[in-house]
Amino acid sequence: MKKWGQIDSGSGQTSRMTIWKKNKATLWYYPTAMKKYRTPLFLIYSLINQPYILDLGPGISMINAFTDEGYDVYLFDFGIPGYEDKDITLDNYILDYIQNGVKRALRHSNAADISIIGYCLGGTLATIYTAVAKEPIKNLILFAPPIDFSHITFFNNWHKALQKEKIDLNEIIDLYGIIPANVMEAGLRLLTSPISFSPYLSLLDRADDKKYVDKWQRFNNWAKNHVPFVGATLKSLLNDLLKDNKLIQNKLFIRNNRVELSNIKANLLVISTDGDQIVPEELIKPIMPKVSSQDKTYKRVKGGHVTLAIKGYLPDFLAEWLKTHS
Amino acid sequence: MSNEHATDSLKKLGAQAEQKINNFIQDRLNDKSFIHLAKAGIQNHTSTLKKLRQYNDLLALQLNIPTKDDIANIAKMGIQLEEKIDLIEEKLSILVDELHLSKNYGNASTIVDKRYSNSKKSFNSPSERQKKLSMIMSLMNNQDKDSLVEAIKSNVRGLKEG
Repeated sequence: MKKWGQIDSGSGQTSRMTIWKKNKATLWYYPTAMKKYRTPLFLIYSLINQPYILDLGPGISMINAFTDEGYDVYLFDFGIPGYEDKDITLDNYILDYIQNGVKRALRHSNAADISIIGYCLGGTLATIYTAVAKEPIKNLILFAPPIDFSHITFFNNWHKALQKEKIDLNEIIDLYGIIPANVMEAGLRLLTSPISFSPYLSLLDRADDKKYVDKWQRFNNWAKNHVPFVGATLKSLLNDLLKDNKLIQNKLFIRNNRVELSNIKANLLVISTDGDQIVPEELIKPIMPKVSSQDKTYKRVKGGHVTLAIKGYLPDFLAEWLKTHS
Repeated sequence: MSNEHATDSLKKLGAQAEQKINNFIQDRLNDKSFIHLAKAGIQNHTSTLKKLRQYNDLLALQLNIPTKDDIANIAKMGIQLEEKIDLIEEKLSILVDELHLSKNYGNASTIVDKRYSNSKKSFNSPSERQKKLSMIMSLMNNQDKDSLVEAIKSNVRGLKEG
């Protein structure tokens, strides 16, 4: 009998195969049993948590929901970086990892174009990549991507201190090289919910519901399973995005190429949720007027930061949008 | 009051209490005086860590043992090697694509040249490829051993001269 909390997780549930590996990163391929659409989906998850939240278990897998609908899915898993990866920059992640991953997925699928789907910080990376991409990107779908950091309402004094350079984290980041997973977890908890006992009350309320308890355990394991953060990339994100807000102002450079959001011409769907404590709407919505996409939709739905990822099925608006755009 | 109502009330109360406690903590953390304190703490921590690293490096040198950086450098060499293999694999797959296109469409090499224009330098020019292709074709046409050898020699001579 398994002890409480000992549940198989972390390896995903839907059948998959490796297409490409680079350093710790893996490009996974989840084939659909019944292919209905020519354009495959390329998923980019955040660098903070592990991407198995998208394939958490039977009945709670967004990847499985995609394959059931008839889409071939590619998932770019950044893996768990080690101390030796401390010098990987944002430029490396965008061009050497994501761009090469998309090239591999395109070659493997033999498709004429591809849909990029980014979650949270993965959405920010997907946006930067799409703005500099030479590959044929048909659709760009972003779930809660932090893009504009000018209206930060929470921890605004920290933000100001960082902007006015009253606080400098560069030296400590350089010394650590890589930010340990438990520090990342503690930092994010302070940012969102330093004390958290309401999930346990929900568990108590539905303790007799086996399905709910299983889902709760899987989610709880994932939420406590952060990955270390690469120092060089963290510095770029803190200085270029959070402090100087370069992305929304088209001032960000990736390997000497300016990231112009107006270069994004792919069909765009941006999704935010009303209960998102990590990425509020003010950080997401300003992308809409900045892109050149003729077909662009902004959708606000009920739920928290990862609600859609663990529903186990595609919400109607997403299923319909994908169907008409793939 | 039924159990259902009791747990519902408990959940509501719990959520409200959690929200209040978190707001209180976050307000304190966002306070300017706390930020000053945190700044001083970070500076102290940085300076202690720096000293520790220096002592560690000194000790590792005296004891002749590798540091974490030494090990990371070895790991980086592995990563570099993997990148080189990846690059070769990439070029090989481009060549395979090219071969398939040549087989299917004859002079499709120009299409491939456009697709892989960034990697063009490392490949032969279309005229060189045509020469090699005709050499292979002539070898295929010559069935007996002697004429095969002769065909190779003449093709190699031809390539050297032209």
